[in-house]
Amino acid sequence: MSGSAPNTPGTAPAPDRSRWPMRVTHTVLAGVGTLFFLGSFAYPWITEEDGTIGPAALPRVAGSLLLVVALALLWREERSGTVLEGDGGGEEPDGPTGEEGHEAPDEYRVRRKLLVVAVSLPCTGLLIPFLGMLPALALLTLFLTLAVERLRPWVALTASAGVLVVCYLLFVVLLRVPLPLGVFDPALWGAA
Amino acid sequence: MIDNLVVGFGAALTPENLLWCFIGVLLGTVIGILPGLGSATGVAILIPVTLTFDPLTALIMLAGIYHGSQFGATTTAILVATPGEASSVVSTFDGYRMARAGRAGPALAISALGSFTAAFVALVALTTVAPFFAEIALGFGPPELLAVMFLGLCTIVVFSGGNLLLGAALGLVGILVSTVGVDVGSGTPRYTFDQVDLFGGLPYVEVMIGLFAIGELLNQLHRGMATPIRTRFRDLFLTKEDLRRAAPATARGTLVGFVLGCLPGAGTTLASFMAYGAEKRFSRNRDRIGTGAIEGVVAPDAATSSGSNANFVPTLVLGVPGGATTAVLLGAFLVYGIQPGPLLFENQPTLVWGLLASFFVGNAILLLLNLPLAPVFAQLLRVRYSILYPLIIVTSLVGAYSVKNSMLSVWIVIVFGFVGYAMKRLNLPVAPLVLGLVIGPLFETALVQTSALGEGAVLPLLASSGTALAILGLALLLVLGPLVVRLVRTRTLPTPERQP
Amino acid sequence: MKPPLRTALAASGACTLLTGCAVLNASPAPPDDWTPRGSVSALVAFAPGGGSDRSARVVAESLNDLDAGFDVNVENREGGSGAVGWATFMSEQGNGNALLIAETALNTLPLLYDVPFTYRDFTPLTMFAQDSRMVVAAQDAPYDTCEELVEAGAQDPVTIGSSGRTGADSLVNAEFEKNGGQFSVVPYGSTGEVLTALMGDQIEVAPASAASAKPYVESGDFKALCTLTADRYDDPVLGDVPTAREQGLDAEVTVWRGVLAPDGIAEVQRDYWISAVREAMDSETYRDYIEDDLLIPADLEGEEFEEYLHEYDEEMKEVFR
Repeated sequence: MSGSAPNTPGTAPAPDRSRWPMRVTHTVLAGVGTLFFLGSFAYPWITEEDGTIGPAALPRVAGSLLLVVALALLWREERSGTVLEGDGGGEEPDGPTGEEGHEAPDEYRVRRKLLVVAVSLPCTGLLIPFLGMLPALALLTLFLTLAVERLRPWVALTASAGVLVVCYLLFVVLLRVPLPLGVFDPALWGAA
Repeated sequence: MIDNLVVGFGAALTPENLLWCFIGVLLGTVIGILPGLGSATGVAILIPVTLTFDPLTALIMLAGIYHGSQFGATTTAILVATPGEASSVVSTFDGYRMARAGRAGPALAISALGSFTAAFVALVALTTVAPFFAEIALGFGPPELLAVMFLGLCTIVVFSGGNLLLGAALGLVGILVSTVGVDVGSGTPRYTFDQVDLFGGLPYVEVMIGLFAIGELLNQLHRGMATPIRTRFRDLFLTKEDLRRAAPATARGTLVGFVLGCLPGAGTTLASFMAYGAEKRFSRNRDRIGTGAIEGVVAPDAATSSGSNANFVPTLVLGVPGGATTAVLLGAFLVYGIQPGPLLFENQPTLVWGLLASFFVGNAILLLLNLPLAPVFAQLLRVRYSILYPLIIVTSLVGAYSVKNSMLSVWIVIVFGFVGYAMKRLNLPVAPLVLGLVIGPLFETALVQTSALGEGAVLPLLASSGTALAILGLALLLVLGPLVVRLVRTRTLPTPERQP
Repeated sequence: MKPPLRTALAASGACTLLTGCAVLNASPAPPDDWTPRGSVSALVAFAPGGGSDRSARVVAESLNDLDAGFDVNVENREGGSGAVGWATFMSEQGNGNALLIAETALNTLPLLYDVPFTYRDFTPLTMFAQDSRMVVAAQDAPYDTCEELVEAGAQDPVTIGSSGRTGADSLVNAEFEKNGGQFSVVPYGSTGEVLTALMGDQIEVAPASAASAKPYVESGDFKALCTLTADRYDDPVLGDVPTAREQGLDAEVTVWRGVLAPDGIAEVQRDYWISAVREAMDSETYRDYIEDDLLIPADLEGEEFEEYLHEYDEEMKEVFR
């Protein structure tokens, strides 16, 4: 709903198009409830050996409750539309006044950038086993600063190199975390 | 008592111990700032480093790390909505909003001051009346803890804003997700689809890094990136008004934190959430909580701080851990050949009192370190977001990996980053989800234990415990109170206005 | 949200597998004078601060004190009563630079639950210690010996704590039930929690390791009913506590702690680690550990350890039938 915040200032009733995401959300919630409810039948309600409450109890109760609550939400959504007043309370990310400054959002450019960043995250995840953790992440930094943000090359390079060095010192030298090394694993080359 | 403390300070204030305490606090702050790496991991990783030290020095340094990381975790939560630990999730609510409104300096400063005050009060209580509290804590068996966890779940009401049903739904999702993995009672693997990686459950630290850090980052990108925040010089510092408002909130937070910290197994995360909930109920400014109010920053931080010190009540008096980190510290005791237990105070007075004295010193160092640094840290927000956000991604992913040395953690962060982003766009409250996730396993453990004690039945045991009934009554009040108030209010005021 | 997660997992798994194969193809069989180099991980399937973690840190430190050109780092991979860590260790197949510090639950967990491994999926190197349990109760408990406890349990179930369904505590319960006692078991996360519960009078008796129970017996908070060892402890405080057998019960609990390596490592690698651990067990760190924690020293190596595990597994099958 906050997506439509620019054209609907606050208290006006939600336009139709902001209702379908809520419907989808409530349906997903109902689905989650159903899945856990049905799934709980694979486990005993009571642990046989000692008669204590078994592994099925909590998911079955919570799952059915969630189903009921989600159906109630759906019903309310159909009846009265999205409730805007006080929605989310403290979690409202824009703040009621939206006083913080933002660069003038060029819709298309912003959406594309969001998509690129979103896709680059799982791609980095896939690269880590090959390149090793720190090189893959340094590459990600370089890609984001240079290609996505179009920063000056020396700024981008400094940032990426800085990330590499600081993370290496912190995680590998100080905290001795065995980060994945990928092809840079000495075991791969040392044996030859 | 005083004699003992003098001995303790004598032991703690040697130049060498002071130095290591300082190094510990500094290291801890850094570890706390890194997302994912919490105090428990930090202490565990650094135990081998301290093996060659004198036991007291080593423990002082480890305690320094403990205190430092509790505090460091809130710094990034306030600045970039990236909680370093589960207990600092709450700091993202008001602290981050204060930072976005250009008041990062005061937010960090009040957090440091509040934490110190709370720690100081908790430590005084720890050194004077610890055995008394330990005795009370022992009376908290499974039925009483079950009631406490139920009360914790009821705070979802506070965190779901106006939409109670939605909050309840997300809280239930949190509970359901927390049932994935090996069940506490019977040991049965649940919803694991034979994936051994899921046996340990979905780790909430990683889920939180995803939901908050990556989710907020994608949200900022969606909104066309936040501009760097330049603050006026005078906005960097606390005002008298800030202090006046923070004082009662600190007191409430300290109390909530201390009580929950004393109970074995309740933990500081729950304390921070409940302290925030208490503010939303009882603070004079309760309507402003959630929009960047100073009470919403200082109360949970005070609770975390006093809770993490109160954790040492069961640790030192009874020799049983009060939380995850104190469990690791107990392990460290063993490494140095010190057997924790009821005789610890008698057998090792210098060590225990030295350690207690070092807690005072460590918290003082923390304050001296962080109060002047608060305006400096606030300058981080002047960095352009186009450089800042890649850094947030990198530290989140490496930090998540180091929690368990597992790539699964990295994937969890990424997936829940998208979930968090979707929730932000749909304006779904994240807090109930986190609360359900944290309390779910604790609630179920208490439930199973209670039913084991009652030979299958839970309610008779609950009904026979006065304490449990009182807590349940409080929970009922929490849920029904606002409903009644709202009913009355909508009758009298046709259009309730949020603006104070 | 699950399908993308799982495909992602599968994809990353495939990647790991690919690089894993690359490692295998690139490295020929290790030479006869093979020694580990650089960093060696010692995996523990339990959280920092517990008994397993402690034993792993002792082994790691003793090995590092040999100064043999490698650096052992303890890695905690807790979750699922050990299942997560041990399943992870399976992926180290053929890696001579990885050690596993494990214990009894490696036998019992696969018997009770559907996990993708058994102790046979790893190469046993050395069993370095044995531990047992003792049983403690509040001072005012109506029984003074385990025999009386079992009798009381036969009349009316006694509430007993347990730190896990696959650990030593569950063996204690099984032994007592074999002797006719009935217990209602309250599950806890660790021995520390069990002892707290006993202090708070939530449970009536608690099984615990000698090391963790000793301070409470010494302080007079608890009385010791019996030990489940073969012989009494050689200890000023616990030396008076009779064994369950002395009290006429057919009950004894032995749990092992040992070092294992991944499956499929070369002969030379196995032999190297066996002799390295043997040398490390000469250290003061190790001897202090055995003494402080009231453990029973053990030094079964290679085939002997393997044989022991086979027998132990048969016993456990009897217990958990």
